[in-house]
Amino acid sequence: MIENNADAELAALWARAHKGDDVAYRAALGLIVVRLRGYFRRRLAAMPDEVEDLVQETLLALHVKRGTYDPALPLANWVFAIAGHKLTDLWRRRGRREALHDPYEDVAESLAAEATEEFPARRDLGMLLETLPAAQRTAIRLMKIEGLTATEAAQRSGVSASALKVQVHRGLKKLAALAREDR
Amino acid sequence: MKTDELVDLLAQGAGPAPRAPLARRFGVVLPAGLALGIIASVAGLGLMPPFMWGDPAFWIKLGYAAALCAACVWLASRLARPGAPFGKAAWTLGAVAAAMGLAGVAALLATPPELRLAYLFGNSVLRCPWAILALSMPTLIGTLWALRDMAPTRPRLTGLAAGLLAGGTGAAAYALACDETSLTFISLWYSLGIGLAGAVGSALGPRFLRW
Repeated sequence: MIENNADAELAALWARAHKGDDVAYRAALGLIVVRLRGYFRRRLAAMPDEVEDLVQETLLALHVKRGTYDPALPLANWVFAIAGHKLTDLWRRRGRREALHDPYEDVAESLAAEATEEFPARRDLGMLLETLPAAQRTAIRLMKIEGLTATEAAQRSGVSASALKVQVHRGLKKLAALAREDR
Repeated sequence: MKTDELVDLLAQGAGPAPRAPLARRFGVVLPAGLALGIIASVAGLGLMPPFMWGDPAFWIKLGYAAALCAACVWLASRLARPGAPFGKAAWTLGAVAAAMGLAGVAALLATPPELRLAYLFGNSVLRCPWAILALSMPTLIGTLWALRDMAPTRPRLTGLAAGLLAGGTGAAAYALACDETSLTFISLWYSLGIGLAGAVGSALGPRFLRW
């Protein structure tokens, strides 16, 4: 029942976010983060260091791919299908690079951990952001970090507002790809 | 960067969700792939003899190709969305292929035994599947590109759907250069060519549909 209420609240926030409500979007992503942490922590008991990286990578994927959400379907299916895809991807890569015999001693400890508590991510997205092409980096800094509107950012940078939006979108797509490769 | 900072960054000025680009891209890629296939088919293999326009077999080939393409577009667009059920689309695709197979078997049984081999192999059996495979390549490249910006979580299956879709356009293009009139021939060799395109698609899927 609590689960269902939480689902309904998240779905309502997401529906508003889908139409362009940024406050609802931030709140929805915040709720999703907590659930993603729980999801990955249960499945990555043997490698807790990976959890926060995978949460961040999944968030980027959710954002970049958010047009693929079909409002007629349950939001949780979409979110966890993407989370599962990221998890499979991690297993596949790990399986290729190193043998899968991680120690199991710390399973209980990480299972007991609160999913709201954040471990530091090993990969720093801030540093990856610095490796983006200058035009994308600048657009993301102005519009996503300093929080300028498209018009203000266009005045500051001398680039048109629509071009800036394209650069932000490309930059986040590129960042998602870089995060995926950086494992 | 902490996760909360990432959430802030993503939500900042995010605006409405962009529309998924699949319908728009399929709208470009499918007609273009089909047109390239038709040009290659007619220029490379030669247009079928004029009497074929009045032969039901020609229209059955086109109908089969069109039904396959429709089912594959449906299936691919389900597979392109994480968590979306795709069972109905897959069954529909299977039903289209099965219907053509049954028609082929029925036609073979209705054929006098001494003519059956001729109906089965026609006079272009060595050309048909390979030509369909080759003529489907432009569409296959296009559909894989269109699916890349979606979010397929089953890349092999999605590649298969893209390949069968491309095979459908390849079959339609090849029909213009084909003078076979036997349903049995169509159900076997057209399906084989389309299936080959599907196999190439499913082999390429995991490589090209990563995200």
